[in-house]
Amino acid sequence: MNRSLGLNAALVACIAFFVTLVGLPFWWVVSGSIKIPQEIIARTPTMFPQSFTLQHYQKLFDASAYPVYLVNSLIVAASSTVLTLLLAIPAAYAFFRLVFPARGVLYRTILLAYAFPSIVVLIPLFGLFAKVGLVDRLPALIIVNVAFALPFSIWMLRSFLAGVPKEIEEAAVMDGAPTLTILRRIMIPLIAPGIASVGIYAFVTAWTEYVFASVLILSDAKRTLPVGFSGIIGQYQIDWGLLLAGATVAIVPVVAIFALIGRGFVSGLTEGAVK
Amino acid sequence: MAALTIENLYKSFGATEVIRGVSLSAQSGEFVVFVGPSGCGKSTLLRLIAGLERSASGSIRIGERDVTGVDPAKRGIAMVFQTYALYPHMSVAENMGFGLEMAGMAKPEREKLVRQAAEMLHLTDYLDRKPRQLSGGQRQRVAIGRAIVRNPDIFLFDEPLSNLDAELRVRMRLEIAKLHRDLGATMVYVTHDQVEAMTLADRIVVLRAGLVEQIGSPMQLYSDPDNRFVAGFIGSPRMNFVEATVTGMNDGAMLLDVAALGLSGLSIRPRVMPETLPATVTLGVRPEHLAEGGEGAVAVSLPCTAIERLGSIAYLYTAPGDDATIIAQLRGASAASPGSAVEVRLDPAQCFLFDAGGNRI
Ligand SMILES: Nc1ncnc2c1ncn2[C@@H]1O[C@H](COP(=O)(O)OP(=O)(O)OP(=O)(O)O)[C@@H](O)[C@H]1O
Ligand SMILES: [Mg+2]
Repeated sequence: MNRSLGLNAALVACIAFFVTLVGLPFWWVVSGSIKIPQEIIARTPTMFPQSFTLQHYQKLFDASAYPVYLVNSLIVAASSTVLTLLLAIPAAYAFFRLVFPARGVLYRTILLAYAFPSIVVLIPLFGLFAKVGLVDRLPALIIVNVAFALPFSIWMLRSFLAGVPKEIEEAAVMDGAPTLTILRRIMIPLIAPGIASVGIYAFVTAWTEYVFASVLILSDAKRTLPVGFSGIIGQYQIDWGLLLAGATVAIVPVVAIFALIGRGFVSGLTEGAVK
Repeated sequence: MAALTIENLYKSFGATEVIRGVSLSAQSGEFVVFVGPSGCGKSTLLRLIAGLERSASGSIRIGERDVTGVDPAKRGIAMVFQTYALYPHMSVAENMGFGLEMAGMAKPEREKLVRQAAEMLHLTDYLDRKPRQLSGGQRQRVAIGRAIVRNPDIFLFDEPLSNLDAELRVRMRLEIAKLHRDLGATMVYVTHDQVEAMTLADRIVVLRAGLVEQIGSPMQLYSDPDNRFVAGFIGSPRMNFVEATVTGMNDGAMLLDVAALGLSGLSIRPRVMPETLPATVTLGVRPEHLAEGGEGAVAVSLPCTAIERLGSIAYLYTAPGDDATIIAQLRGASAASPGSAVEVRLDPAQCFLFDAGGNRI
């Protein structure tokens, strides 16, 4: 490609702008978490830390309930992700491949789940969970997260499945593979990028979910990070160092999951299959 | 190896009937080619045989077995797709062995068969590669290998060479012909390339709009077409069709005035003389039977508007780009040039007559 210098410069400026836009708050949080309190609240903010301390992290892990919340959140988010994938993959394949009555209607209906703001279903859901004894238990949050992540996940995976050339599946049929084997041996490897995206989506939504976690969980020992952490920070006086350290740690699992399953985002996976 | 018999097969997609009562058979070991224009239902017919589509009515038998409702994998059929349809995440060996694995064959045995097929197709060096690391021709060979290892009764090919460049296409065509000789298997091959059809087929099935137009050996279709469609479809360049007025009959031949060729009283023998003479007919003659220096008895003078030189021979066009153009075959070293008139010889014995409905008279 032969781009002019001006265009190149404009592109670089564009990228730089967005990187700054997205990256600057993160840098602020991460760099702030290792500053001593005086520097954090200094009148002229420092872009680069002038001091170094781990005192905020020490306080976070030794003197607060943060580790408990962290573990709770990890349990909820990881279980929600795994469960979402376990349900969404077969469901998407069924919507994609099987012909059954009312398939089209059902397929459109599941997306209707997003027509209602979560706050609307909160009260009836609380009543429901109270009846079956799920209130103040982590499975309640897992169920809610999965229920909200599923429709979009199914919808997304189905379009990834639709991107696999029909002949590949037909070749597998001719080779004598049963439907579930085709799903496991042919389709899942081919839609790995889609599965990775859905996994990340499910994890991040569960990791950051606040409304349900704040209502369905009553005891402090069962709180997840978003709710629990907001309690740590304090109602009348804000410990900025603690806040920044907690926020930094909360980012870590999300970054880790991106690094881990983000590998699945390999493009051109079906390259060479058909042409 | 098994014979294939199709009887009165129908298939529609929604309201459109795509296959409209097709009956045909392929003997054991025969190479049958389906040809026809795009959209005539060739692929659909092949997919019906494979079991990837279900017919509305009619029956398909392989050998003595009625397979009309049988699962694709249980029909003893292997199919090679136009798009190769390899499993992109599996190696060449895994691609070829997948069907055997599904059939429950043990690994050592599987590997042996895969290696045999790979040797046959010169793929031994590529067994560990992924499809994306192969060239188009190699991919197509893997697709064929995947079919071979399963030792099917019938091979189905759906335009397997149409994605390859011209040179490779010729080479693969010869390889497929050799494969047919070596395996002696029944093969059904779809193409819209009539050269492929002529060179590969024991028998050609000409399809048009979901119906069989004619079935016969390549030479039968070439020298004795049943109708104008088949006559026009088989042979390259295509047959010339010109309108002719019937002026009478003489000794089992029709007497024709052919304005387009400047002929009157041309005497052509029909296949069977109709009881009442039609007023007009369509005369069909192939370029090779309207040839400069040919053996035909009738001299025809044609205006040369364009000339296409292929080296050993050349083709003359009277109105290039027009459907009504007449194409004649010239000598390779012909002195003809655009603007001049060329005398060619018409062979009346090689002319065909068609009625207004396109049927052979
Ligand atoms: N799944 C389908 N749904 C609806 N119509 C279809 C379907 N498959 C094929 N058709 C129609 O059936 C007709 C025959 O299609 P088919 O693919 O058999 O043609 P073909 O002879 O193989 O053509 P080509 O040479 O272009 O491959 C076409 O008009 C096509 O539009
Ligand atoms: Mg086709």
